[in-house]
Amino acid sequence: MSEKMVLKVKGIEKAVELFMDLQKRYPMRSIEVYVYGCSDNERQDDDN
Amino acid sequence: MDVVITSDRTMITDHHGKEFLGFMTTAPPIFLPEKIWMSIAAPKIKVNEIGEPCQAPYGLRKIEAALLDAGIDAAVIDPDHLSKHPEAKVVAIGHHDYFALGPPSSEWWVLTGKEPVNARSFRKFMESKEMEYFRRKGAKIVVGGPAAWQWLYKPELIERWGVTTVIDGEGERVIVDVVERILNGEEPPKLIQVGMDEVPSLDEIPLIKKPSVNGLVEISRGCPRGCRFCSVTLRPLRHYTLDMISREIDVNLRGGIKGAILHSDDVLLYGSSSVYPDEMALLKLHELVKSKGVNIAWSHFSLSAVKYSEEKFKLMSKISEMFGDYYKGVEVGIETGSVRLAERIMPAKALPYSVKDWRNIVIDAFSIMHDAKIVPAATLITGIPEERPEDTIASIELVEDLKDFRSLIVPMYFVPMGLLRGESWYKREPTEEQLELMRVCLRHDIRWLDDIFSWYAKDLNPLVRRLISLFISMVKRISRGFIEIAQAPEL
Repeated sequence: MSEKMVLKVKGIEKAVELFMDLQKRYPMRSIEVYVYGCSDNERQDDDN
Repeated sequence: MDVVITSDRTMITDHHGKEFLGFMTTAPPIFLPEKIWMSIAAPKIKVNEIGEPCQAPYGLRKIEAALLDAGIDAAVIDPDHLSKHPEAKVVAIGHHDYFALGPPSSEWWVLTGKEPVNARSFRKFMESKEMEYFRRKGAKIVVGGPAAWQWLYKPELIERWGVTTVIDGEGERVIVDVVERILNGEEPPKLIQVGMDEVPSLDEIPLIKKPSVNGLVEISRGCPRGCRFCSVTLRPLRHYTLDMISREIDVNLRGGIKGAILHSDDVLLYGSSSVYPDEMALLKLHELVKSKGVNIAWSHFSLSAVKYSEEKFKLMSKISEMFGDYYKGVEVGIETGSVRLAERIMPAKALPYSVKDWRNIVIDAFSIMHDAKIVPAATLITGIPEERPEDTIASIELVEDLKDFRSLIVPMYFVPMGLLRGESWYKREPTEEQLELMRVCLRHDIRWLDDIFSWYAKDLNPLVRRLISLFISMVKRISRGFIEIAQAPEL
């Protein structure tokens, strides 16, 4: 079973864009996207 | 109460006990003022002293059950009674079509250029003083349900309306985790996709504890057919046990509901792990419903399963005999009359028959249902990117071949998701063939409308029946011109 992908992204627009892209690529996988608004994109992918 | 589960009026209603009237919430008001339109499509529902509606959408009841089972104080609350629960820390919202971007709302929007009432009603709800109160005091707003994807096309509204979390997928397990995080003071994720490892297994699906709208009960989840336009196919197939179904029907019976709408992505595959309907499972299922003494209807049949189950074990005839001489409603998907297009977008929809026989499968299934007094409300999809004019013409010809079978046929105008981001996505021009398809469907529906309505409206509130009759005569009068234009010979 694939592990959950957890990401932190700056700004809702970018978060949604990334989330939709991941949904297309990994339709069966659990994804959580946190949104924050004050620093550069920071990605935490449990896979890596 | 920690969690109120709610939605706008187009969802928290029983549609006067007539599920099909719910489709009126997907259109803008036509010929009638919005207030009257809403009073027909989505009347207010009876509530108890704390504002719980006597019936609520099945999906919301599932979320309620999941939270209650986890020991969380939660209830579905009518949108007019949210102020009775100012202490709530979480407002959980579900919807079939938040922004009217899904079919058939999107089609009405394209045809009329007007926003359907479901989207209007939802906007009013989100901007109501009750929702403003919850936002101001810091309650968390969690949205989900089958239309959760639509929030991704409205990120500005996620911000403006203070949505904390969007859950896309089956939510019974994930909602408990999200709510527990909130109640523990943690910030939950903004966007969640429920993956295969978080989808509830059969024994993790909670049973509803309070009545669902018009007695809808789920019997299976998932569909093995893999049609390209449908996301259900990504869900694992699970069948409820007869005991689970029985217990949910009993909940509705205790709530005074005298009917059961069996819901599945394909009811006739109940109990089957393939595309072959299972005779014994289906007979036992229907015998169970019969033993409860309630009227029956179904959410979805696949046409190939209708044909197969009648040809192999006379299921439709047996059901008709079992439940007596009243019309029974179901939704079915024709989707296209073109074998060429069917091969591309839904090659498995005809199984266990060949997709090359799709037209005959549709005609045979309609004929079988007509004889069994089962009334299909059928959808046809037009506007798919691969569609050619000859495909639309094939659909037109098929609808004409179905003219003698009691049914309603609704063309669904496909809007590619990529276009939904734009503000004016609905300003699209159907082609002449697509318009002609809409005309032949309208002609078909008008032919059968009186017969179907005289049965459907039998026990309807007399005032509502009168209003609908008025609406139908206006549709007929106006449509006459539209249809005649189509039939006029070229000069």
